[in-house]
Amino acid sequence: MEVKVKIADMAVLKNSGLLVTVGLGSCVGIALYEAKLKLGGLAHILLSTSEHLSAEKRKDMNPAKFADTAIPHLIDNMKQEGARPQNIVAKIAGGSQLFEVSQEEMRVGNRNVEAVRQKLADCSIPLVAEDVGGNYGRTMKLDVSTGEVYISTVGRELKVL
Amino acid sequence: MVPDKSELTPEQQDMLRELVNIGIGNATTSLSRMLSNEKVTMEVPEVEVIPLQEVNEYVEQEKAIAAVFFEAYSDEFSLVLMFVVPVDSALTLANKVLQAESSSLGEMERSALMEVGNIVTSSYLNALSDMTGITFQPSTPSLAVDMAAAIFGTVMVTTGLVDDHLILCQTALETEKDNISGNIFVFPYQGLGYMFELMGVS
Repeated sequence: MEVKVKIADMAVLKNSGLLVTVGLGSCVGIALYEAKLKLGGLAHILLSTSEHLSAEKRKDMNPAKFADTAIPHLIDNMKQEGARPQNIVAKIAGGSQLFEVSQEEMRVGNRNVEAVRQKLADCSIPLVAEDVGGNYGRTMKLDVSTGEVYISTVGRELKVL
Repeated sequence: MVPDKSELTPEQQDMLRELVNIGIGNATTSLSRMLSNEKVTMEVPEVEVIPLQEVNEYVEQEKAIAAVFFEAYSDEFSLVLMFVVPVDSALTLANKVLQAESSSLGEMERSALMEVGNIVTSSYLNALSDMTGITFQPSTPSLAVDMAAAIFGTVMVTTGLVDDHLILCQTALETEKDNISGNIFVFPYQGLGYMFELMGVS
């Protein structure tokens, strides 16, 4: 089974199958895994923080859009499936710069990666592997039976985290 | 900001289609001129309001593409423009413009593509200015060659097009002889209400 995670989206899957998110540029993919339960979660975030949003906008916002809201939300979703937070580890990918002259883009990619690292630390989730930065897009697949993360790109070899 | 209702009236859709149509007529003419007057055909623009999450569903996600994008600002109305071609078309296009026969997208080919993207998108913008009387301030164009989904996501994030819905205007182009295919995407993102009012469809 393959479950697709779109932009600003997240999903949880148990026992076997792949969680897949295609095309991480400046966005960051966050794979969380609880080995004992063979339980995986994957989020595809666009931006680092939701802090600028008004209280009203916050009410019906999509938490998967921002690093600071996506990570706690994904942890909660995994808890509902029986995960213990202290058993969860993280692997992340993305935060690259695709366009040649965009200063703003470089800032966005870096900021996203930094925000994800910070939020994982805040939630006491160890970051065990990452494939971030560079100037190319990535597709990320989490195999929930093993916890392995596969990174594919255009014209580069498959990488396993 | 896209209207919360995330719906456009049929009149508003027509207006946007017309707005896109006029600009793209101009853009195809300048593309044709760069290709020694080869005939370029365009399809009727598609205008849709889509959830942000669906933006990548409109492209072959893992296919490698070349994309030139820039933003055009004005006090009244702003938009993001993208000129997108599959890599094989990008190479044909670059070779045609450079009158060369390169087999890969190197430095020269990339500059040529950037130039083509620049000319195509600015001629689009000129037509839009003529029609609306708005003077746009374009940002520096930027080129990327990578998987389609990564490029679209990155453009959305970089330009701040991250509301829950966005308006996608897409027009397909094709050249007659060389089978160069491409798409022009227009994403209006600010002052749409002003534009509707200006065109009498608010």
